[in-house]
Amino acid sequence: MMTNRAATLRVLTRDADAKSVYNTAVQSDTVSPDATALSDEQLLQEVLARDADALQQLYQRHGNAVYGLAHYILREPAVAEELTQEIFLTVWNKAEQYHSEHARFRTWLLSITRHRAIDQLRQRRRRIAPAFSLDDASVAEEHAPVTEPIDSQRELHLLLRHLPAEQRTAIELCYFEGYTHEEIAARLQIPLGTLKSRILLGLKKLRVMMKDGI
Amino acid sequence: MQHSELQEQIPLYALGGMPEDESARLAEHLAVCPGCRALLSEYQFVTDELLLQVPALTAPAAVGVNLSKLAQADAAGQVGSLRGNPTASPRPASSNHRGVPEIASRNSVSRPRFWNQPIALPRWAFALGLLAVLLLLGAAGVFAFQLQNRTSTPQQVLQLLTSPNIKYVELTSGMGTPGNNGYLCVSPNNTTGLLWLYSLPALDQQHVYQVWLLDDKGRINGGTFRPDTSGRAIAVIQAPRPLTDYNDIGITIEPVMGSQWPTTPRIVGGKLD
Repeated sequence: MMTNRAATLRVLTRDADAKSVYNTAVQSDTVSPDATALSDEQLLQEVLARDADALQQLYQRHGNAVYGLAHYILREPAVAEELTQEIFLTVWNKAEQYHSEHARFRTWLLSITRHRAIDQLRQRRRRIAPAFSLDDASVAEEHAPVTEPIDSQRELHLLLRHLPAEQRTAIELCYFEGYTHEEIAARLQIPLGTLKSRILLGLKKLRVMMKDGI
Repeated sequence: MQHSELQEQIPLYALGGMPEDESARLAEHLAVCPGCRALLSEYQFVTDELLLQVPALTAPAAVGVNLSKLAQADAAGQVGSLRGNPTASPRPASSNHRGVPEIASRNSVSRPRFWNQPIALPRWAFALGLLAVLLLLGAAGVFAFQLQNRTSTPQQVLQLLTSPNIKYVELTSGMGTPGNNGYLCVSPNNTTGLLWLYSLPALDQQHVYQVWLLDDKGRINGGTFRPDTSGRAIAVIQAPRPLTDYNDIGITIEPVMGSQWPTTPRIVGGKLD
């Protein structure tokens, strides 16, 4: 698979004018007046009409946010890079799935990113799967590995940093690592009820903070 | 369940991670309770904000370059396969999929290249025996029960076990115990392997066995498993690359949710190269 991908990439590179493509693709703080005049929704309409420049404008606006979230969850730059590309190709192919009445475009984009990233994390955890056990008592057991210790190599979340560490950890493991409550309680070696209380307290505090406009 | 109890769970529902039955029960309630739906909206605003407040990072230029090329080629009708299969696209040029820590040293003891030897009758017998056990358990429903959530795994295992090029890597105790503790069945260019282990030391509930795959540049976490009470385990390994690309396999005892790197001496291992 790796070989096929590399081969495909080389063919495209040879056929394209790499310099002009690069000039239109490199992210910049400067956005052309035409692009700033269009809303995300208008650009999506252009994407539906197969306008590659419109996709590029959306990427310029939101690419760093998507990459940041992918990196935050996956913690591997190369994998985050690949996922970022995949997310924008999803926009290219399935722009019609976005409905502005449900969420802002960036929220929709980041929500897709989170789900895909967590799917990848879960796949990693399932990389080894017991085919079967010879002991009925352990058949139902399945323990997933954790890729890295909590909070290591992770920049502190701008919002979660306002919470006590135990509440922040519980929310992080649930929302950004995709663990179930039972898994988190087992990992933290605390009762399930305690875990739920920490999440509830943390979320309630965040809700109040956001209402108060922190 | 009382309304107040259901209402109390709405923040948990918004964040995710609830058991399916609890989640379904709350969804039923939400369908008929406007007040709880309004509360859910408030907490969804919080979870949305959690996404929006993750610090942005400058994405490598390769992503934008590649995306532009793909979209332009697709718009021009040159890349028909893009639609409906975004993952089939080329990887950004700067991807390398490494990022694992370097290993300071590796066991340099040379061993016979077990899988390069001609396959002898006992190994065929072993394969047939293993296949028979798998099929027997499959017929009994055990196999299906364990694999029901794992895409294509039964087919991959059967494909491996019926491969004419199947190799058996002998796994020996890292503690100097004579004899072997099992085998890893692999075949060239196959990312799936079957791990067959026996005589493993018993574990308490706080620990599991964790598999590590090592190559010249580092190690990857192969996942965790727990043997049965007699120390036996059969597990399917699905690696990101063909298993024959790795040099070694090692198994250590780790805390129940796994470790980032081995924290105990190798219990069992073998050389893959």
